[in-house]
Amino acid sequence: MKNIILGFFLIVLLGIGIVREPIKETADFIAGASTDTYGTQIDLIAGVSDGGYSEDSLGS
Amino acid sequence: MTLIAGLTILWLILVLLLSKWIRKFNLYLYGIAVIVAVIAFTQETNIFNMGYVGLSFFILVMFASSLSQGFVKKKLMGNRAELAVFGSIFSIGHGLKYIVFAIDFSFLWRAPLYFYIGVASLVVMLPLAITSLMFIRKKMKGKTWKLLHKLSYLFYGAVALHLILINSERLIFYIVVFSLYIIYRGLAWLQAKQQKSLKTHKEMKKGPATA
Repeated sequence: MKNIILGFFLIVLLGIGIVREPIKETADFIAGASTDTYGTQIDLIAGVSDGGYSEDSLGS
Repeated sequence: MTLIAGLTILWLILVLLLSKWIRKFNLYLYGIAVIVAVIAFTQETNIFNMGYVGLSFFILVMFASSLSQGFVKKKLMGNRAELAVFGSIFSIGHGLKYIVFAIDFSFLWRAPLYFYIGVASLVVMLPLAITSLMFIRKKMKGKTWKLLHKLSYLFYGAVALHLILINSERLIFYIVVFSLYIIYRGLAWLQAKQQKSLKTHKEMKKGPATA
């Protein structure tokens, strides 16, 4: 019974994940891109602003 | 959430299908995992060095012992050491990547609490990972090994705290997974206690007859 409940929870969480996190972002992230869903929180501490560009960047 | 749950399900399927093969070629598979982790370490943030792969292995390691008896538990317990070593290899890559990142961006001493908890969990994990390797485990006394591996609860707790404090979009996933683990562990503990008292009861009943 415990195994079935755990399996059920895993599948439900996977389902919720697919609904909440766009598949495109997951695929982009696997391919190596930093996305909104999979952006690193630590970027903010290191001084990276939204969009992944440095605030000092001249290119923005 | 998609990635972690998806990877956990994928590893589970692979263990159920290839459990004997994983055990037989574990050293080669460790080698491949180390190569992948080293390559990922040298790259920008990715699926491997962000800790998702490591966590997906540890979810299976965590739940393996508290599952109901049967085919799934048997297979998972048979490959538990391998899963723990894979999880550790990718977690070390993740930890080192962020430590180097913190040094590079000079925030090693002013990082958020979850960073230090993550580093602490890595420190706790290292002896567990090393002693999960069969050739080292064989050199240890069973009791010492068991006692040392009680540290895994501290490790799981630190990992849970690390993930919850990050407060990412996956917070609800982490809360559900670790709450479920606490419930399962509690149930397994109660079951073991019940079985022990039943055994003592039976022995006590037998006692006067054999004396």
